[in-house]
Amino acid sequence: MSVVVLFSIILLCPLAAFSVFSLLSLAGRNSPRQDLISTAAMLIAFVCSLLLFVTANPENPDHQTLTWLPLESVDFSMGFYFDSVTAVMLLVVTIVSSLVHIFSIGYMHGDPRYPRFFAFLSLFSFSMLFLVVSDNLLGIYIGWELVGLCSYLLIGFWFEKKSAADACKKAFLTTRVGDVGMFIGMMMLFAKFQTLALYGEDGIFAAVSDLGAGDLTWLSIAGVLIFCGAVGKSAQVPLHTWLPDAMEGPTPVSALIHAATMVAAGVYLAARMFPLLTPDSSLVIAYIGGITALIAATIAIVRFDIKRVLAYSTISQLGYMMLAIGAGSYVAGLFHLTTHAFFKALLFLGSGSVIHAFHASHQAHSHHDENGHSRGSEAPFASFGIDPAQDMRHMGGLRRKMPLTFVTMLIATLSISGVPFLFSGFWSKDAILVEVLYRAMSWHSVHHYILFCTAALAAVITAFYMFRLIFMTFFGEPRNREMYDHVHESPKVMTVPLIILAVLSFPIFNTIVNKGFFENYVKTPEQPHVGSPKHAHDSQSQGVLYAQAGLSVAYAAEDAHQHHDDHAAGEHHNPIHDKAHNIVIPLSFVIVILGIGLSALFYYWKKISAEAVAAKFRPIYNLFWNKYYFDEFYNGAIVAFTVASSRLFGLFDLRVIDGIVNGIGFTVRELFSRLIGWVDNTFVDGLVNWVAQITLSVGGRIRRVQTGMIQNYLLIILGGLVLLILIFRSL
Amino acid sequence: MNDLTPYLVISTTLFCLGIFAVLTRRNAISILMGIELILNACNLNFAAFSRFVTPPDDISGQIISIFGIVLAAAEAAVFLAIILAIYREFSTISPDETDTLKG
Amino acid sequence: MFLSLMIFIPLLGMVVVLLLPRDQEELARRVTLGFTLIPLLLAVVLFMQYDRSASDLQFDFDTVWIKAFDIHYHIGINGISVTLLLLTALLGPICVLASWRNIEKGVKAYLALFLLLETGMIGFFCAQDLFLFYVFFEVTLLPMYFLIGIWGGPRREYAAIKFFLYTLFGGVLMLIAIIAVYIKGGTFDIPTLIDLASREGHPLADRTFQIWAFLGFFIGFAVKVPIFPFHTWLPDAHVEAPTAISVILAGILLKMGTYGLVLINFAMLPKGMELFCNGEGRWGNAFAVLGFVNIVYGSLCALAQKDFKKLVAYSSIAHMGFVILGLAARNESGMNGAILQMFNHGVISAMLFLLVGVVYDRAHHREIGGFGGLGSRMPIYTGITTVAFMASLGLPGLSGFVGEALSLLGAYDKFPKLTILSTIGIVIGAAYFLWTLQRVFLGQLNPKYADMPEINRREIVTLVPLGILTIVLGIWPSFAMDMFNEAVKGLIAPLG
Repeated sequence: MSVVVLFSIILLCPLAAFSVFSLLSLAGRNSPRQDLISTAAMLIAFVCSLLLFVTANPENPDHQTLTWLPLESVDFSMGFYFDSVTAVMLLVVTIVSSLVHIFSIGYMHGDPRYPRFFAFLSLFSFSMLFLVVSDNLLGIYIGWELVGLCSYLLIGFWFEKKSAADACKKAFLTTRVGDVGMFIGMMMLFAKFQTLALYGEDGIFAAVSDLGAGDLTWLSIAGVLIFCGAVGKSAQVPLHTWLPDAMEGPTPVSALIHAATMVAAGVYLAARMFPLLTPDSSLVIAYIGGITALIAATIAIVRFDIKRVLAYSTISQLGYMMLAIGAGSYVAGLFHLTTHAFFKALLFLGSGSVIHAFHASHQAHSHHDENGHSRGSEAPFASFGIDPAQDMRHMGGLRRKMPLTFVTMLIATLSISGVPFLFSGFWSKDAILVEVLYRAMSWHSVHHYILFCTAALAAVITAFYMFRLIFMTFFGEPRNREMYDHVHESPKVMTVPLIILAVLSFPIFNTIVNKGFFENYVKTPEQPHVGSPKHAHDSQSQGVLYAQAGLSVAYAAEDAHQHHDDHAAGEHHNPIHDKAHNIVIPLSFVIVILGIGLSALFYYWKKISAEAVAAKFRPIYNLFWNKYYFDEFYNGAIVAFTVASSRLFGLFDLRVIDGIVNGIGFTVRELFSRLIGWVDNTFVDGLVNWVAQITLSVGGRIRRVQTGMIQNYLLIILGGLVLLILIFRSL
Repeated sequence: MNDLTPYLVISTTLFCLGIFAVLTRRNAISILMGIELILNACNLNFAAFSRFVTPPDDISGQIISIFGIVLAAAEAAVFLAIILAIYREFSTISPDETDTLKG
Repeated sequence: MFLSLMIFIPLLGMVVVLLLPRDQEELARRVTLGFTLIPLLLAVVLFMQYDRSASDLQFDFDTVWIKAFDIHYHIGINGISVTLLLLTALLGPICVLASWRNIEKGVKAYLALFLLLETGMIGFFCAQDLFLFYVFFEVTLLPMYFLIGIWGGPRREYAAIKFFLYTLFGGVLMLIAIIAVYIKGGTFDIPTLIDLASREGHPLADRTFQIWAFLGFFIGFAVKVPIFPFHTWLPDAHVEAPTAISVILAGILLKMGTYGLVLINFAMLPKGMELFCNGEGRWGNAFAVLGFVNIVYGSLCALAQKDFKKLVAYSSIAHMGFVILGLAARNESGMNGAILQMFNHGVISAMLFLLVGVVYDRAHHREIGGFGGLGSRMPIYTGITTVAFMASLGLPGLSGFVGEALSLLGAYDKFPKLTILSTIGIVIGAAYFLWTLQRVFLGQLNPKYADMPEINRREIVTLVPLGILTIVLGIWPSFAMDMFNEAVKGLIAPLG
């Protein structure tokens, strides 16, 4: 089958599943078996993606467009672009989405809005896939916002909970701030190139290579602005605060949207925009990624909510990917995206399994709770606002009760911690560290040394808090005996996806998370702008840009040299690269041993008391515990300012603008009309009234003549007659 | 008998009597009778003048007298009808008490 | 003749409705629905028949009306008016349906006035003679005054008088400008005037004259749009007007202002437009600044509102700002965006007002904070509202986005700084709609509304066509854009 047909099927299946639900709802009917429809649609999409992955040739990107808007002077077209990155993303999205669908059948069972959940999942899958296959910025933006909408709808799925309603609004608004930045970037590019298409002869990537030196700053600004969208969507500092709150959504949603796919879309965007990135904007991206990785990791250490730990871990890992893209290691960034999607989805689904078990136990425990959807709405014992079913302080020892969940989650944890050789996370994280160090060494760049240290430190912390999670949840003695007694392993429909994802965390069993395969696959030499990072950075356009800029002469020289080297020896036999590799491999061991060892000291052997350490470093602990006060700052400053200014404007409108209008009306009515009214009453009407009064009074007097007695009249007539006779006589 | 004066004396007497009756009587019927007297005084004048002043073949004065008599009859009828109506309304026919036209 | 039929069928309907016996209210409603469906049918035929590849007037009809002043009954449509005609004809029956149950007193008079209003609106979009144009402009005013003043809310007299005086004030300035143009140009015929104004040396092409005439027309239309600071009649009129009238007000009457700007100010007075839109000199940014102020000011005011309907009214102000911004850009994407935004706003704001009407009919108040948790009680209503809100806040895939994005993309070319500042409106727009969504639909169900009935079939019928249009135009905007693209090209061609 041709690529177009497969794409159409991949996109239309989830959309159709959603349409079925919405049309039936509009008619007032419930969609029967929406779960099966949605899951089937997703599985079909998965099969098609697999077919694409297997059959299509990524060496020869497929690109088709059609005109979207019939404008002449500017170009608005829609289309799809299929290259190796698209193929990988499609596969990742459809695999994770299918597994989450299946998991949800168990997890969401009994929810009153069960069909709606699946319909939203389908809509999300459609939007995400649309984003991935789009060939132009406008299409990406459309998919981008649509996934945001689905994220909004799904975070707020249990909207009766105030926290969920708040969280979904916050997520949408925070990402929208980033999206506006992205839109401004799009406007800049559009004003320059009169198109938003990325590929093809008239596309932005082709046009960028013709830019002169004077445009470099402009291009940097545009690149950073586009990246703003990724900052919002991928929850990078400073727009990361929505993602932990987004954990109010059902756990499968967290796994699909807020771990594996949507938040990774920011990384995907940054990767797609790779040919646009200048050294300056790359550095901005790298720093934001590095800072995010570190900050989020430190916050994760002190969380007790199992989902919040994973959320911060997601932010941190996304920071890693951004760091990779910013440091020019395109392949490593995307590779980490792929591996992370699977093991993080696994971690979330595993935690979902635990939460589900706890909820089931809670329900069995308190029989009066009849409606299954009121999760967390009634807390048997409040603890810092954390849902007790998600509070790790109530867990412990679960490995005996939930062995499958335990084993699969342990695999994912080993993977994310970067335990060498066996697990996919190691390979991708290792690749990023190598690349960053390689940049630092080959460019003698202080920036990249700092970034490398940040990344390494973040890796240690990651291993630490992930094992803290495992130890607190699955080891030790049960802390809440009542709940523990009712806990049991989740049903097969939930554990099977866990097992599949666990398999996907081992690179040896499959191709897609296999480093060697991935690096060969994603490399696309015929697209010079989207090649592997080493090529991209010394590809012709970038090289020319560097040289023309005159800013980074050293870079350019180094690059040209490198370019030469690469051609002579091939990238992997590059001496500096090898050196970096030789440093990173042992370092990885150190990182893992340090992280896991410390964690075990604290939480397994309990040699060191976490409370004591926290008490000793109280200010730092407070900083971590309060999430660096980002939320307080936003709520106190930005939100408060906006709301206050809106109140002010509202009052201004009501009092001043409308006041002026009413004032004019009032003045006209009260002043002029009073004055004229007075003149009218006094003079004009006065004259009329005066005439009337005279007439009246004269008439009043004269009327007495009228006696009503006929004989009087006759007498007067007689008198008159006599008078007349007398008068005529005298004439 | 070709002297106008006695006729005029009689008619003047009649007229004066009529006026007197009209002005002084307190009964509408009497007033009507006074009016009839006045009218007859007029008719007499018409006839007399026609007979003695105008050429003998011109009898228009006499004819007007006859018209006057006819009119008097009609008028009397209307007057009586009005008096009846007044009586029904006011239960009296005294002109002093029916002064609703008073200004 | 086709257009004349469309204009006067509602008028005929008015006569028929007035002739019906007084107690036959149901019949009167049905007759009105019939008489509004005919123009819709005609509009659909028009939409099909319209030649999309031509930019000049179509369905042209010209005959002398008042000989002494050379006033013609000249009607014709171009691509811009045909889209707005379709919108008008579509909203007609929807509004009749929307006022089926909630207008109780004086049903006949209400329906008759509504039909008169429809005649005025359709006529306005067809008129090609300035005098006729003015007549139809004012014809819409009177029924609107009574519809708000008699069937409105508690402060209806105030709102109706405010609306009337405001529009009349603008109308008078416009009349002065029309007379001035007539004296200079010697005719009321709009196409002729446009042609004369483009000839160098003609008195109509004089720059000073054009600027003054521009101002006259501009204020007349600015009141209608409404452009800050002439907007304060709008929230009051919307809040007091009955649902269907709000729909017409937001859906059509506001578009009369922007349509007038395109037809008269843009096409006939290019030198006046040039002064205010070229981005240079003291006044060069004036038009775009007004657009920016409308967007940000309207959004911020909307965020502060507690009344559901007032919030939608202020959001209208903000959205019309995008139209102004797009027009100010005077390039292909900006103009197309502005006109698309006109149409889309007509559809979306109509939906929003209908939705407010639904909840008002049930709860008899519009206090946003007074609801809560309706999402669990009225899922279909919530779903439709979410679609409308999302369309209004510019979510891609729904129509609101395309117009806004095109306007902004076009405007960025000329006014980069102002456009960047205007994007604040996008965030605030999302903020007030989502906040409203949360306060009305999310959270625990307010026990007061525990047995609030779900949206009924009649209400769904009024909303679904608009919802479909919103989605279709979001996915495939060419559906509408094909209609007016050529006309826009004709408009911007003289600018080079």
